[in-house]
Amino acid sequence: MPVVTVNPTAGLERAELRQRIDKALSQLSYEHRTVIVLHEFEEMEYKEIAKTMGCSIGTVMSRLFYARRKMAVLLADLKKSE
Amino acid sequence: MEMDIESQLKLQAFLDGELPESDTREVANWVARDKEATALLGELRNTRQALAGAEGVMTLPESREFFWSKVRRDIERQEPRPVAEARKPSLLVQWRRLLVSAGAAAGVILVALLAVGPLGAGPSESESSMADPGAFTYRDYKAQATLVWLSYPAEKEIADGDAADILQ
Repeated sequence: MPVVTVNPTAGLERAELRQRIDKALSQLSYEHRTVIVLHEFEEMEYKEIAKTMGCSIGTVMSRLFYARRKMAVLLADLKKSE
Repeated sequence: MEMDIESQLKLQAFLDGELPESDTREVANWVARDKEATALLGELRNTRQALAGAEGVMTLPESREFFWSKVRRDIERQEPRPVAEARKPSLLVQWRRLLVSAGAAAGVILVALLAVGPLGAGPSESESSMADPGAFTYRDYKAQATLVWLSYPAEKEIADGDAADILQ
């Protein structure tokens, strides 16, 4: 997967940013969405997330990584379709 | 050459401040000299900042905990539930299952009783010898006893009338 080099949310109004993130989040799988919510919004550490989701720390790291990369692509796509 | 997943996860842990102290300097040096690692770290950082910015935008009418619990409930509601969880067996089906179980248990008990034999009476048998039609043998396995009846007069030195011999 190629790296998204441009910040896809730069210069966006706050309300618009929120709308785009909501839309991108809704396109993630349940596991990816949950790990993003727990890490980015609940500010949980990997260990806490693993306990909450009943999986290993390695799984949390992997899910978070792929969720972030998917979010980057989705946000970039939303920017392109403006 | 593409970066392996282990290195990518290490880079993410570095960004999140979850890397052990010993690895932090090593990864910082790696990022400084590797353009691919720098680009990936930049993408991960941008995504994190975007999400952090979105959270700041939200003006929550409820408490933070209540708001996120609602989000969780919404997520759970959208997920398909397992079929077994959704369907609960009816009362009739539950009764039928109970009767089948009880019937099976009764059958097993009956077979066990028949295998052991009638209550209170141990297995026994009687026979008469073909070679000596005057002798009659009775065996009681429960009492571990064997009775031999001789219906004709035996030799004078043993007995004058009928004789019984008990072997145990």
